[in-house]
Amino acid sequence: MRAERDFPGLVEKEMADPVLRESLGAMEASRAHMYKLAFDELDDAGDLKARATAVRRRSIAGMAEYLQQFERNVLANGGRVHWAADGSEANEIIGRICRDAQARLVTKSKSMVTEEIELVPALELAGFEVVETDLGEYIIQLRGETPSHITAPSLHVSLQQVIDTFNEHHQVPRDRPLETADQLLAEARAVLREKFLHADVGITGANFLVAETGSVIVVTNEGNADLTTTLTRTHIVVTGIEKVVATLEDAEVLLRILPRAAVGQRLTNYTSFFHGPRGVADADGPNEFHVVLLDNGRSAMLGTEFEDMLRCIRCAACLNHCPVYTAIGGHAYGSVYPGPMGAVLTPQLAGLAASRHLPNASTFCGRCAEVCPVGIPLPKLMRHWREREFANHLRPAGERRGLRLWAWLNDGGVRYRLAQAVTRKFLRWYAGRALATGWLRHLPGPGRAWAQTRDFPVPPEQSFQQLWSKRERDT
Amino acid sequence: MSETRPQKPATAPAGRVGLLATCLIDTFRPAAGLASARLLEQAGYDVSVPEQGCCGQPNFNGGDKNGARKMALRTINVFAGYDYVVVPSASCAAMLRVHYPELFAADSDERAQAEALARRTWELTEFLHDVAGVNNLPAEFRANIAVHDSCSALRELGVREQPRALLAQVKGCKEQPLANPDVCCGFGGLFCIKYPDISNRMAQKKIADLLTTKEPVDALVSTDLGCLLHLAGKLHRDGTPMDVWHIAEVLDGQASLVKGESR
Amino acid sequence: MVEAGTGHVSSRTDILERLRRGAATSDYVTLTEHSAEPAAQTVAGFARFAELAGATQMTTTRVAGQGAVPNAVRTYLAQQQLPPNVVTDPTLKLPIESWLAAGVGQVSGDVQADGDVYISAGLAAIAECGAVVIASGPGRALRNDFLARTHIVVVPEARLLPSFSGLWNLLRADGSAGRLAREYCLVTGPSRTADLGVPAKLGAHGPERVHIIFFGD
Repeated sequence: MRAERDFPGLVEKEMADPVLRESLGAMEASRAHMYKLAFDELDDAGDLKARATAVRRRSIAGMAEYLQQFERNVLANGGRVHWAADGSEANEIIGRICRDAQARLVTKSKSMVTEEIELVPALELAGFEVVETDLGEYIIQLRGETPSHITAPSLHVSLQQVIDTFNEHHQVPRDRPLETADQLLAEARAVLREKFLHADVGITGANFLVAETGSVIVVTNEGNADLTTTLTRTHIVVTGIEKVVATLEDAEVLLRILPRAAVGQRLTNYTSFFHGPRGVADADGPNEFHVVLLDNGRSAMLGTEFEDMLRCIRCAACLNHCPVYTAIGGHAYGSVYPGPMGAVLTPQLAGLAASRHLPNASTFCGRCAEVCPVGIPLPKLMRHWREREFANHLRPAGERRGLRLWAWLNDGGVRYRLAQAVTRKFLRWYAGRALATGWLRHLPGPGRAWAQTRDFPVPPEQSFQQLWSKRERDT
Repeated sequence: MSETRPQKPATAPAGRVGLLATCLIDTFRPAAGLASARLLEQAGYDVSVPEQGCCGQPNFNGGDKNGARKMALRTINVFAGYDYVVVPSASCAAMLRVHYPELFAADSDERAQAEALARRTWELTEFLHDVAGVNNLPAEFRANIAVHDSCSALRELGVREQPRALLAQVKGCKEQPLANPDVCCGFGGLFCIKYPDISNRMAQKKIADLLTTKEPVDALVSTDLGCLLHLAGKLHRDGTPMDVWHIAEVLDGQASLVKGESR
Repeated sequence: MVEAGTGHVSSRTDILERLRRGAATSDYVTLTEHSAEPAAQTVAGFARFAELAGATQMTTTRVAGQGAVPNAVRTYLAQQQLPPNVVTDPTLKLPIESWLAAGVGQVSGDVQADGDVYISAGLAAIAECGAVVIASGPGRALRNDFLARTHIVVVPEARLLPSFSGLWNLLRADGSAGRLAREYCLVTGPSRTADLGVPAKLGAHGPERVHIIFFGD
């Protein structure tokens, strides 16, 4: 999976974007508020979260068994199931199904797994025209961008930018102005309808898979997944193996909690259960139904300190409440999955060496874990990545030595006292004439990063422990 | 000011408190350590400050689990003999209470010792309010204050009401509620120097909230010195006049307004 | 053992093997029975449905019998200032005369133009979440439900289920009878997007309006 090593560089670039800053500000204000309203209205919000967590734990505990049960049911319903060890295998399977279907045009509803495996570029390379039908995804597809948020992919794009993009790509005649949201909506509706009506293959992800019935559940507000699947000859579902749940009742718990956690809705406007190809007497629907189950590093998380991450239902509550995400935006992470969930998942999927900054770029403020509807201890998991980074010598040598030195200095009375005294004396000397003001404007070494934007207090001559000893002697 | 306070009760001390002053207070704000000790003594406790260093939080959060373990064992050892361990910092208190046990294998002796320490560990305001039952502080601080809830206080220790209940006893002290009180200020320990731009943006947002309260804020108060140094440094760099006090200093009656000089 | 997709047998074996070997530390948690909402009284059930559906921009009416549906449709279209012409789902069995009598032009079949009004037979509705359930099936072209600008769903009162459990039972019954529909869809509102700013826009791809008509027997 894609991951960009130069996190600090990306952060600098993204934080300089005023449009992004505005969209993030608006999102920060609204999403957290909607989340709160949606859970406050429940008498048993805590109970619902505990149930959702229990459902996900059960899914993980019995994943092999549930996946096979799901597979049997899909087969019984007339569909086919494919297993993909990684992204390239999944793309190969999907490409082959498209070729077998003699497809030209492929429509797609929103799916982060397809971003993870970079399915669209793979299909395009194989000669298929692929159209994203979720409006946010469609916008960024036109712009040649990747999602900056897992439920609101075009969060970073302003309305004016959408207007510009549509005007550029749709080559709109002069008598059809594209200047307002309503005009954009009408335009997108007209353009995408043509795509829906003429598509050969429809690809969706899955929010949940139900073992007992072989159901593939997809939630949308736009209804685009339904058009994608009903109007094409072949429906392909591609999703991660961890999405399976045991029963419809288990799925119900997650359906109750996912839209609330994601956008503060009770249910999304369309919650679809797909079971296979069209029935013999059905008036429409695809002739073929394929489910591609993707592993791509997921099974390797079982039994490790990262197993809890398999509970994730991709609601994005952790992104919406994360002060780092709302400061830098999704693209700064340089990975498919941004925010706290991305900081835990990316090292697993793309390797820690390529993404070691992500679990470090957190204050461990804990808001993500607090809002996670399935109780994933995200800061703890990020810390586990830092432990692996330290243990595997991936942390820069200077930082490593710094931490080692810190532990050594602070591990005994004399060394600690000496280090404190030297630090205080040095800073007071370094302050020079600024000593009287009580503030340092510049700091040497690692302190430079502090002093970029903050003054630093000049320490007093005596430490608390010295003053305390003196007090003890005096009394 | 301490001579004007009621004398310690003549009865036997309510218990022996080991004060873990934290390395930040030890180095940069000794007054907050002395204030913490006085508050505990006045509440009737016998306070000691055993020779101490850092609790190991930077190493724990930096992925150096072995380093953190060594520092935890030393701290566990140093504070073994006290009825209570009180920490004037929620993040350090959370390190002892929440994270020390995580450092050691289940069923190990170290784990048992860490858990025993965790049970005796309290953040200062939590201890003063919940254990000591302090309800009549003689302090005075005539100011509009903003209380910055540290993330560790809110989410690791569940400390939110205790600082406010104690501040309500301080004469003249009036809290101006902040917008987004549960959002991090961007300090985050090593985070603030590893990712200074992100840290700065977060501080800017927190300061914007500080500057848009119903009535203007004279002083910023918190249980955590790390957040305070970060925000004070930013306020001072920006030339924003606002005083900054550790909560122990306010509760001990040491705070005064020197507006214009972020302290 | 079942053989699923073509080829890729080894990935299947490998993945399942890894999952079995993985020694998951998560456990099988037994959930306490969900405190299912008491079987809603019919009246309370309708009120709850209408309230929730209204909150998500669907409208609801209730008529005495199936014969009264065309009149209710005419009234609704007039309120929406829409012309009295509809396309109906062939599985919706309403005598052509009743449409004539109500003064509504009706054809059975597929939606032809973007602005069409489509009336379909709903499978059920769920009171506790304000959702109407539509499903594919013999003679039923589900595409029209998602293509029409105005979507009216007609549901027999007896199919108003108090809670999700009713729908799960229905799915299980269909499953064991070997007639699980290709798609069941819970609809709680029109086709909506938040990707073009605030407020969210209706009619993103499909219906801009969704109206539910319950009829008694």
